[in-house]
Amino acid sequence: MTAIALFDVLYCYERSGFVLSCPRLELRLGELTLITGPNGSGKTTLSKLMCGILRPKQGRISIFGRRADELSLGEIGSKVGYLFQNPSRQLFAPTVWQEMLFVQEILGQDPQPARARAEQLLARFRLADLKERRVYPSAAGSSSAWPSAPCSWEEPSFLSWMNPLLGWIGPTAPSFTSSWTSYCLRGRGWP
Amino acid sequence: MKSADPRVKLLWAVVCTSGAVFFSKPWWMLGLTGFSLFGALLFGADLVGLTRRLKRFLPVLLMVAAVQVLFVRTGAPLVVVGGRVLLTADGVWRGLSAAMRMVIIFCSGAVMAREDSRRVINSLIQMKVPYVFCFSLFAALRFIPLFGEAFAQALTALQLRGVDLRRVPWRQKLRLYSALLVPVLAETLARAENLAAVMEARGFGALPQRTIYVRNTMNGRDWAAVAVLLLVGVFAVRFYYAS
Repeated sequence: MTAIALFDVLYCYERSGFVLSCPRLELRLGELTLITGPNGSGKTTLSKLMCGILRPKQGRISIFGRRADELSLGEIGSKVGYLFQNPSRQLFAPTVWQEMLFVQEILGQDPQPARARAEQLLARFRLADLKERRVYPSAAGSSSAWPSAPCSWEEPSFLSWMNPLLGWIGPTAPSFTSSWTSYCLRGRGWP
Repeated sequence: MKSADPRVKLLWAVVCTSGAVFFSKPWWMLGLTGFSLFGALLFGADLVGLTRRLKRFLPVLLMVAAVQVLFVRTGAPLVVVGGRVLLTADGVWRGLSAAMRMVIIFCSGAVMAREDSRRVINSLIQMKVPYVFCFSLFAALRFIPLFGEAFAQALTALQLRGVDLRRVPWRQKLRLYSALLVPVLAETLARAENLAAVMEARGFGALPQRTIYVRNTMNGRDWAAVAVLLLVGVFAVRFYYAS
């Protein structure tokens, strides 16, 4: 099944004049896609376009069969988990545990199921022993290990991670490979 | 005059903003606003582009002007409803003055935003401003766009985690916006720490004096502009207080 598709997409930064053109790209569930390229070639821009964070000047982007421009960021977030190039920009609470429950508290959700879900995700990402740990300053300056668990809260069918290996060190290291393997085995996608 | 020396632009900005602070007479403020707009266009400021980028702050600025209009009670009544004075001449004038002051400051900011910050810093150093102060200013200017970028990304990240900002109650929204400052503040501190380490490593402040590789040079046109600005400034003050 096609998760994300780009058709004749064109995006340009007016200030720098940089233009990204993508005639056609299809990313399917159960696939792992690696996007590489030199600095400034547009990897981050492409990734943000795929997740509906940037709107193209031309062309069409479809996320699970729906036009990206018709979906809110919240709706996209339930289908696509996105980890920024600088993961520290998506950490809002002082500790790993508080970070896990931050959004659910804001949304006023029932605390009991939220805590159970947080425990489950921390165990999956092998962060359970580190839940009281402060997220700032993180091990590698900005580690992608901390926001990976809360970004998976809605069980997104597709994960888009910038610099996915950043900060996966020590006890969190094995969880990177096991997590993406399990995602692909369960028919989910990961570019 | 787009390529004028930054010192000329700085002097122009100082003359305009000082006038905006000291002047309160209607026609003088109007003249100063015209002078600022003319100068901004002459120095090649991108007024349209900057207005587009700052348009979200427009309601706040209008509100500041409206508060002056509505709450100043002195002066001749202009609008009276049922024996109650709604608008006075002083109120309208103060509101217009506040709006004109903002236009003047906006013009000064637009001109300096267009200028290369490295050239501005070099100019300040050549004007004998302490190097440490100049470097701090340069570093701070480089940080400003990063704040905006970090804040926007944090907001996007939060929405991708399922937070629909339109549906969050006001009380929670306040908590949410204060939480958005956490990643911005953390990143700022991390960058400041890195910058301090790099400065130490490169021997910042090891010697009391520094040489400047690039020096800005004032040409005849720049000196003429400085002379005109100084004359305008002095005569404006002289005639303003004489009238």
